[in-house]
Amino acid sequence: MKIYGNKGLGGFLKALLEIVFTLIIITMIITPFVYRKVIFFYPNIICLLIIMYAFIGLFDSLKREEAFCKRTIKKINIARIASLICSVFWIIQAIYDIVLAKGYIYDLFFDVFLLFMFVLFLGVSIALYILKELFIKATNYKEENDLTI
Amino acid sequence: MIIVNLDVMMAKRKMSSNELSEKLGITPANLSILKTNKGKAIRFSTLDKLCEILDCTPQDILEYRKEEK
Repeated sequence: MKIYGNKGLGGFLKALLEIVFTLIIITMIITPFVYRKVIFFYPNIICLLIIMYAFIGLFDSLKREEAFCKRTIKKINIARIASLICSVFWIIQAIYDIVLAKGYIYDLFFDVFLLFMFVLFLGVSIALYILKELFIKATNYKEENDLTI
Repeated sequence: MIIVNLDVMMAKRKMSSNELSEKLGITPANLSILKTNKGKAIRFSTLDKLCEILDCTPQDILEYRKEEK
């Protein structure tokens, strides 16, 4: 399966993410008028949008066949930081609901979901850190290869 | 620090960059990287071909100079 180039998997995923990104923004604008409680999760959704935007840039690099460059490393780092911040928001929301609100806002099942999302985004942040380090090494090897005559 | 004295040898053999890059089978851009000491490494096959084209030894092209700290 082709990954690089215009007709590769990278290009397809970039287009898909762009559509989802736009739909999320539209949903964010409309939903508070129907269900106000969702505003509680807006910091998390904004972080998710930043992660998606970083991945759009990453898949764009695959589309342009320039995967191993400083721009890609920067995008992965942005996604990593956004994921870490998002995990902090999840834990704050979980602690607030469990300890301070004493389950008033959401039921126990949803509190478990909040804790799960904290662990998930923390895991994603760690995974992206590892990926960033790998890409730094790969970019250095590529640069060395490009400058070997 | 390794210095590439390609310009000197090219002037001695009265060879232009375009001509040398064509004979060497590399792009003029890559030859420029080599000439301006921006290269990270040179393949033995490239060095071998360079010496053959310029009728010289590696010593004529590559020079070691101690870096001043």
